[in-house]
Amino acid sequence: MNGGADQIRAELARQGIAVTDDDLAMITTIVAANRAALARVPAGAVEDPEVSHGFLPPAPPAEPPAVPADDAAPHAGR
Amino acid sequence: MAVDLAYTSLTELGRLLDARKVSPVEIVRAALERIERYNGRLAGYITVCGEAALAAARRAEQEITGGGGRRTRLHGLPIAHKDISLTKGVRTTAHSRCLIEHVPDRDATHVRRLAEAGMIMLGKTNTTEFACGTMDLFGIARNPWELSRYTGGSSAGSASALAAGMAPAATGSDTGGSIRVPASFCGIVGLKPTYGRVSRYGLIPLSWSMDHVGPMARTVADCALLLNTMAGHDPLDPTSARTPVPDFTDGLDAGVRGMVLGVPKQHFYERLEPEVDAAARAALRHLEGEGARLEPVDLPLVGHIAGPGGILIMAEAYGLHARQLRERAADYGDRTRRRIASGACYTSGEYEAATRVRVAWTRQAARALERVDAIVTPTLPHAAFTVEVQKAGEPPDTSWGTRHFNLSGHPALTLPCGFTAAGLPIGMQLAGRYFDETTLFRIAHAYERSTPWHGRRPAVGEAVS
Repeated sequence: MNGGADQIRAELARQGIAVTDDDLAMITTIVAANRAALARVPAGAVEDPEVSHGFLPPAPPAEPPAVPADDAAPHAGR
Repeated sequence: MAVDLAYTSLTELGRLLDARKVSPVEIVRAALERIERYNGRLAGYITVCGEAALAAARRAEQEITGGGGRRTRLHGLPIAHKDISLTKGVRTTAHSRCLIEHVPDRDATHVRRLAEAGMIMLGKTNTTEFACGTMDLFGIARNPWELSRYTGGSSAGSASALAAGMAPAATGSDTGGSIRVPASFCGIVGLKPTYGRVSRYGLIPLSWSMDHVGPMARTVADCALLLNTMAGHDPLDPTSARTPVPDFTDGLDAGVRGMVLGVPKQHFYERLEPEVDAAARAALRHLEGEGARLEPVDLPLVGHIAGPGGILIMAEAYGLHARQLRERAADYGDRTRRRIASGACYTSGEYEAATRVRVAWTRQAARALERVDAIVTPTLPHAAFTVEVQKAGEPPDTSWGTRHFNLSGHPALTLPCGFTAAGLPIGMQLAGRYFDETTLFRIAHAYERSTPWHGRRPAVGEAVS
């Protein structure tokens, strides 16, 4: 969800929450403000999570994969 | 007798009871008379338990005069509970139409402990709906210092009742500042204890990881006295700590000489209203004059807490309210419904990212508190704004200086540190190390006993001669 009003209405509807236009306007404002504030947290101020059993996700490849995006999807079944 | 019982501190009322100079019935009557006179204009209480309180006072009087004396330092003294704490047999609404006829079959743990200590419940105080919305159903609580002004929320009625002499003690809950904000706006003392210090069992929850229960009173010593009984492990609350409970009134008079007080470099002393700025800096100088050393502390994340805090609180609130929102949306006030529903819109990734900010902030605050005895800040950047401002759209963010310590779990206390030219209270916040409420009480008491602010009385809307 990127936070547009239509998407928020759809998400709320999916969860069974009916909202009026006024509700939606305020909810969209609150969500957008909190997301913007979260995005403003300075890079580097927050440490990566410590993983107790030593696993770290592999680093992303330096170059994008040389296959079309659809073919690279996990479900492509190559 | 010449003593004004309505404004006598809890501690002093206890001394008067011990000396048999006053009876529990007289103390309760004095509070009920103030309630009768002022609650109509203040809306401090949602429910007043007048007859039950008088009956309990008569029982306490018999117990005390029957030879046994007072069994605790709180025996025979009245208290008001926020209407978000379950009270057995007494309606508990959380100021919501959803709970308008809700009569619990049990007490919250803190309510039970205070009752077992012999305290007498005067009634249930006003709160914003579910501690996060508005006060539409029973009216908005008014500030005794100026009736057109807001009390702050959510423990609005507790602060209003204390300031107006309608109770000598009260309880509140604090998820982002809900004890400290109304305490600051109304010129009284409020403590958000360390997370885990006071059981939340029986508190209607808002955010499981940030809700706290704490004492509110007109003096620091009274808050310490109340915490003695409220604190302690409770097997009914899985987040309740097993940490020993000291006597928080011990060492209150020890002063601040030699203490190191942290003054944040960021956020807390920026963009303050001029009168708040002047009062906050004067309070720092006063504490320095009392023998404390001021030390700048670096808290780079302190201005970045609002967004992550908002995400975490509302995501958790939505988790608690989702079913009821689906089934009874129309029973919520507009602002409550919208705020809580906003919690449905964050992704798990955003919750995780907000949690990482919380962890980083918590470490930052804890590191700062390794070097200083407490951090000193203004509680809010401004004095109480008007009720009309509160009602319109989205009002000012009153958690500006308080939610930080809900996220980190550190104890934080507010007490009066001055007044504006218009006569509105200004609050100073002290935040301390985990489970070190004792130090906060000691600093606050040293400030309180050497300043006049806690002795002022509001006009409660009446002409001052």
